[in-house]
Amino acid sequence: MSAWVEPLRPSAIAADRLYVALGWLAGAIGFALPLGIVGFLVVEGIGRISWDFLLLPPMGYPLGSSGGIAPAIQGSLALVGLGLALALPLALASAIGLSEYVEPSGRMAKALRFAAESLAAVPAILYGLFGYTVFVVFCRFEVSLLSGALTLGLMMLPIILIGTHAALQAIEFELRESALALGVSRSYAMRRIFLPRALPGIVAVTVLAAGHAVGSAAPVMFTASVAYARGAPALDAPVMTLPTHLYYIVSEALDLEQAYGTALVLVIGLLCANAFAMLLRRWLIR
Amino acid sequence: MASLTLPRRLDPEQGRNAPPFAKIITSPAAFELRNLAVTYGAIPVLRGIDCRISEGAVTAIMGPSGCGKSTLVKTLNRTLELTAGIRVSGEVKFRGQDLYAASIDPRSVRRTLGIIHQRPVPFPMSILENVLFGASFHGRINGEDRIDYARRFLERVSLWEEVKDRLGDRAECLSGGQQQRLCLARTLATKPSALLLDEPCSALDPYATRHIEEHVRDLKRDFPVVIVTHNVAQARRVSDYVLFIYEGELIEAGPTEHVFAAPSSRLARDFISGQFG
Repeated sequence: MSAWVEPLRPSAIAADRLYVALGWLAGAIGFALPLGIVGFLVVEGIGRISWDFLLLPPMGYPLGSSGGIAPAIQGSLALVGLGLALALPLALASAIGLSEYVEPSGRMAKALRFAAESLAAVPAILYGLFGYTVFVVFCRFEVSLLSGALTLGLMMLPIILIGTHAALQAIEFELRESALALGVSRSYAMRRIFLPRALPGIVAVTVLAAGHAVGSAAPVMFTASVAYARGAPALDAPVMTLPTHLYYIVSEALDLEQAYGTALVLVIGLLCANAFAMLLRRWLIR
Repeated sequence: MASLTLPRRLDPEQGRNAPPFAKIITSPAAFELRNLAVTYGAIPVLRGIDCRISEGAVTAIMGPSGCGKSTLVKTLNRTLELTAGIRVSGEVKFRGQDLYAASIDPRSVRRTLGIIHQRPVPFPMSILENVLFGASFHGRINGEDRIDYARRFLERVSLWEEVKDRLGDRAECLSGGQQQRLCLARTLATKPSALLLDEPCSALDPYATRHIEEHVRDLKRDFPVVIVTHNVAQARRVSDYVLFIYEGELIEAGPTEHVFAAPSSRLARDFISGQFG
């Protein structure tokens, strides 16, 4: 019986198997790494997590060796919330302008995109120094929630801008054409069609930027944070933040379990934010 | 028959001496195109188009893929300018008004001359909102009940019975043929003065195609209709006049039955008989 169906060359099969194996290996690393980090933090820090830990200020001597992290949670949320309130409208406006009203292949568009991309690549510590020089010293906002929120806002701005611009650019030409072919203005089409269409992407990038900001110690270290604060955060007063609190505890070698607890709260918070963003995205895309 | 002069432009040289089509078709003209040319970057897409498009009739623009048919129809309502890198020269008049005059807002041209594209594009919103999208921007609804207003146009495209119980559903749920009729209703709802159809059936099955063709014949009672098609049979079925485009030039124009019965150029004859295209 002659073989009409010839088998593939063994070398081709081997190469394909290797390719699949490498793919799985890379995938496994990508999966194991975050799982390992969270698992490690859970093992080391879960013992400290309690209502007291979440709801009480730091206590003990030296400060932070016992008690909780409530003011740090409040401070971090206030900083990022206020920062987003400043950055989001500005980033959306810039992205819309860049995507719709600037000649896409022109010099202006290229310069703006290059500026935004460079801004997104600036290290966090430089934002911290810039915020300190401009907001704390020059504008005399002191080390305060306001200075920190402005600094974080600056840091989130280019990320949201680039992501929103990409989401708007991803809208199919046919949709654009069909909408504008009805003779409506660009702003009407933007409000009714393009923004809703880009919204899932905007939500995703906003959460990414906020997560990046909430976990960064460098931008708030000189602009907003102190080792101890209590009471509700106020615009003109410094606040505690989760990453700087973590930094203090670890660098003073106070109580490592307290540090792991703090880190666990930070990571779980970020995971929740991401999960929420994913749900929101799914609901928006439907 | 013999007295009817059909345009002859077998080659560009001869074309220069041929009478302009404007003198040949005697019914009133909705569109008058004079020396229309389009370039995309440095590439010429359309060259020296001179023709008239009649009122109250269906005019088919036919030709092989990539010959410039879609480009031509999009110059008629200035939606071509939405594509970057396009340059239009020459003259396009609608009922005597120069559409490319500096004082004319392209958006009002687009509202006046509605267009339907190849692939139906439902907007990401409900069926009702889709129909009212352009109409509410242009203030066409005038205090009329929104559903009543939408109903008139959905009935016009025979979609009302199919969607009346789910006007709030998202338009993406409709089938391809229903979506294309929805797009037609959406354009009609802005109350245009002419209708341009850019291969409206190319993404549809034969049944939905027939449905759209019936509407096309029905619509010409109200306004001039221009339909782009690479489908010779469709051009023959629905149109009163045809323009045959080849490689960016207008090769032949005239009443459909005459062009089909006795094409004056070899290109048109070969295209109609299915030798290429």
